[in-house]
Amino acid sequence: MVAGKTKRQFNRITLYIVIILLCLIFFYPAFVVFANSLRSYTSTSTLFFNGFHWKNYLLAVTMIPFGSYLLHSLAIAGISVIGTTMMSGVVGFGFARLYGPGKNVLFIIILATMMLPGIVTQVPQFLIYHRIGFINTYWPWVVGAIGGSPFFIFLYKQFFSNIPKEMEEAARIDGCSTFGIFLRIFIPVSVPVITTVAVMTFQGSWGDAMSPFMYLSSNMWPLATALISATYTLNGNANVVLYPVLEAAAIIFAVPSIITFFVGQRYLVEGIVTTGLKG
Amino acid sequence: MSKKTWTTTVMSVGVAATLGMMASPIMVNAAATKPVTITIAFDSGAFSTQEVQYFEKLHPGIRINLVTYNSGALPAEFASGSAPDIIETTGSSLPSDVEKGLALNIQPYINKTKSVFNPKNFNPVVDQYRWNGKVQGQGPLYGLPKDWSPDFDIWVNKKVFKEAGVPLPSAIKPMTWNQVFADAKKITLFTGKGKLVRYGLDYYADGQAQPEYQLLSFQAQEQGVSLWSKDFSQAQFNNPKVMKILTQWVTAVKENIGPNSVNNDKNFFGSLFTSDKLGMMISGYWFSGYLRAAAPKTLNNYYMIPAPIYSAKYRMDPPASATGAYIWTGSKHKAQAWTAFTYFFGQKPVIDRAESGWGLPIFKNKMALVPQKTAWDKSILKVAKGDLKYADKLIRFNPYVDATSVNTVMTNFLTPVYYGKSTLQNAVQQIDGELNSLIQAGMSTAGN
Amino acid sequence: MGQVAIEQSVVQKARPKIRLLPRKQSKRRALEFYLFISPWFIVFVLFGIIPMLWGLYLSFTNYTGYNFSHLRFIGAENYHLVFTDSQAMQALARTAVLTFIGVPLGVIIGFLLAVLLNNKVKGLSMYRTIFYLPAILPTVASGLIWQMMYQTDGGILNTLFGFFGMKPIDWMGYGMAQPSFIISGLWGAGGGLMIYLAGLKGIPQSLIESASIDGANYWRQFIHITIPLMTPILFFNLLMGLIGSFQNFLQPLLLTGLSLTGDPIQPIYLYMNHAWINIFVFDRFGYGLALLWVLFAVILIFALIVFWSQKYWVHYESGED
Repeated sequence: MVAGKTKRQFNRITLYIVIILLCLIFFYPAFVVFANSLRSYTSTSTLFFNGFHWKNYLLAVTMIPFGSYLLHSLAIAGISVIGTTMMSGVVGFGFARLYGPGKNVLFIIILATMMLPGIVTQVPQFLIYHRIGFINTYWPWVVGAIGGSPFFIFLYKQFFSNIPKEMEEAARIDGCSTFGIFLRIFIPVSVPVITTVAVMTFQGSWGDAMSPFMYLSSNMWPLATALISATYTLNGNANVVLYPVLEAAAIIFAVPSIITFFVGQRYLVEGIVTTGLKG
Repeated sequence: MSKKTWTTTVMSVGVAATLGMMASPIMVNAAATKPVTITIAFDSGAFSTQEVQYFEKLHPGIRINLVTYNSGALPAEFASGSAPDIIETTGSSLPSDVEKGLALNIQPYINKTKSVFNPKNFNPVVDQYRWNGKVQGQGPLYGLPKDWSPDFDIWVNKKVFKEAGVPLPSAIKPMTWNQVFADAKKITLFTGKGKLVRYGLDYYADGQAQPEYQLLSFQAQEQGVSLWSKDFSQAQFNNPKVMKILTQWVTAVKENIGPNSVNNDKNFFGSLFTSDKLGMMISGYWFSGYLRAAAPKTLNNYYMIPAPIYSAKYRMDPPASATGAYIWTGSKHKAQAWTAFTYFFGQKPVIDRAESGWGLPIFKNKMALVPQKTAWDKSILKVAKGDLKYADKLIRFNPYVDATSVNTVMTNFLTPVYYGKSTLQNAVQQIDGELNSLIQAGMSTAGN
Repeated sequence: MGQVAIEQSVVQKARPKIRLLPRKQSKRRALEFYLFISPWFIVFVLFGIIPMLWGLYLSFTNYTGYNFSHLRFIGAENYHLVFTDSQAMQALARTAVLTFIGVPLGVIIGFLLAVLLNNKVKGLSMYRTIFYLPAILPTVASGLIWQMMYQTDGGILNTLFGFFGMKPIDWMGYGMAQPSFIISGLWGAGGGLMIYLAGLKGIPQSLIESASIDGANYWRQFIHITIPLMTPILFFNLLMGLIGSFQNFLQPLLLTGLSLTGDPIQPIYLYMNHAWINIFVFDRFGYGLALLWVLFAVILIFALIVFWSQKYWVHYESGED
């Protein structure tokens, strides 16, 4: 018995060593950005701190209209998170709990669009948005949010399908409308899946640099697009990019994503478990 | 008319009338001063918000909307009529902007604004924005550069030269390209473990010592040849003289004389230069602006020399392309766009830019504004002014294919050569083939 | 996605119930169903189907971005060009090879990370965040990271390896670019972590306990219980990874430079880079769209093959849910 216990302890220690080593490997590249964000812009890149120019962080938020970019980031993320989380839920509920001719075919279409390479529609969509005046407006995001996302519709459907029928029937007998049932019976028990969808949508929309690049002119860009367009230049000369300042900005920009993930992760696992994605 | 439509119509007329009556005293006023918005698409930071505010105070009827130039979105913006009024371009893309029908002929406006844009006061660089359908440098103006530099001038780091034991080049007499490559090779040094001590040469486009459209065009033209046939319908990279230049660069890449796509050094050339790891830097007068900001204490360690030549008989020292802008032909407010254009390219911002030392003004009478406080400032300016005599021989760019495309094609097929995966002969053939097909498409867009 | 089969059976079972309802009520129910799914459906038709068809039409024209006024219908010329364009075909083969190496590796590593973390370890939420970090860092940060890592001279990796006396490696050169590309992709392998963790949590404890009682050690449990029960999730991630990987263009661009119109070196010049350059650099919209439609067909074929393969390796619980 004693030998078994020592062996188990040994296994435990090995496990922690492996995990911590892996953490170092996975974390180090991100650390490199941080270390480099503190170097002076006249020095070359470094693998550990070679200076502490905290001024880079100040420059990161003052050299460009950081506040304005941030507001646009928040607007886009807000529209996407609220809209997508709500509308995907509504559509998912329809597929989980309501019946109508053609339901099977429609659901297979949803699954198929999950597999469709987005790029096939993106370029013509971009041209059409230009024609109908959606450019330099938030309409592309509003429309996207209304339509929901196939993957999230799928998640919601899985989740709602697992909720016992009895609850719904009881409410119906009490004279509750279908939408009322959705709001009062289904939504309150769906916190894990709602959080999952909200966190994932936030990550996606906060980090998306491409769509704003295509649909918005620069004074409406969110941070993701502004940063990738290398705006930290000396005297507006595109040949002179201040990389340490850009790195500082990237760090600041990543903070909200990391926080939402750190806070939301508990629900994320729970949300996915309960949707029965396990198949 | 159905009942419903009828009611809607009556209601809307009613509402409009009421609103109109209520609002009329204010509305009339507002309509008279309702500002027109002019959108300017340029690299971010090129124009400051203070300059915009100053302009708006001068011209209350015009608002300026400053956006970052985004080449990816432009085609769709042109197609839908939502493109900016004033759009950034370079001298290398201007002919193709005109051929695509995008750039407005501003000659008539210039003629009416002689007080600001006096042709006699223009530095030769302005001609880069002339196009007569066949030759760049002739015909009406389709835009103006914001400023310029003799971009192929070379910055020398004295310390690096001394450490390498290479004699310093003359500050007045241009070097030959052969000399440049030879010195660069001598300067370049790596430790036994393959760690960099110093590079010999770098070029500011992409920060790599590699051939690039503007540089290659310049080197070809110095030898009296062109990358294109006379009517620009064919690419001629297979010209023996062009091939020879390319061979020189391929050797330079193999000898590792500077950052390139093989050693993949992403370090910023400015940092390399000021940390004494780079001997010669091909970049124009504007680089003095960077040096003043980044290395104010060691300025005397650096000096600028004229652009290299192939033979003493022929010398030119043009800008690589000169960044500037045109007015879009589809602009709905051309008069106001011109007012804004006049301001940003002819008035106060020009003075501000000249004083900043990040470029030379396009006007002769503003040349005195560039920094010349110190002996160093003066010595640099002296070289730049000397180059001016040779700045009127301009590079001729192809009107059917833009500079980005040419560079993309070149990188695409030359990189395998650097790695020894393809021969130059082969690459040049592929480059010509790809460019010819792009020229064909460009000609059909232009409607030729 | 084994869900499809399960869903169909569920729906089919539900059908007779509908017929039992009074006619009026079933009509009302159907109406409600359509009402609930209408947001998705309307957007899907207006901004999914219509752009697709329009794009299909444009792929048969000489559209170059500036010639709407004199657009010409040129038949299948663009498609013919796709198959004769050696760069496009080489890029497609390259993309396929990198996908078939990179995606399964990513799935396996992500899964193993999840298995490690499923051992009731202390500080779980921190490890999870670190492994997941690459997936949530902004693209610009990942781009900066890997450029600094892979730089030949003075780059992070070469400096680190230099401490052990190794000669600098040309990470982004012809020889190493593809492995480097895959390594930087594997850094993001933690992206699927949450789904794997959820799947592992979903394995009934009773199964594992009964196996331990039967004397099965950790490895036997892992091989005979964990892996089979996880195959549907592995399959799902494999399929999604495959679809995503064929459309990858940002990763090679970021390894090359920060420019969205950049030109990656040949070993990592992917099919989508070729399409992107043709559209946004060369302004060959018609041709670019033809390239995209061909890619769509290719992805569909590979997706179907993966689908077909699942009957050989994906384990579905038989019986009722």
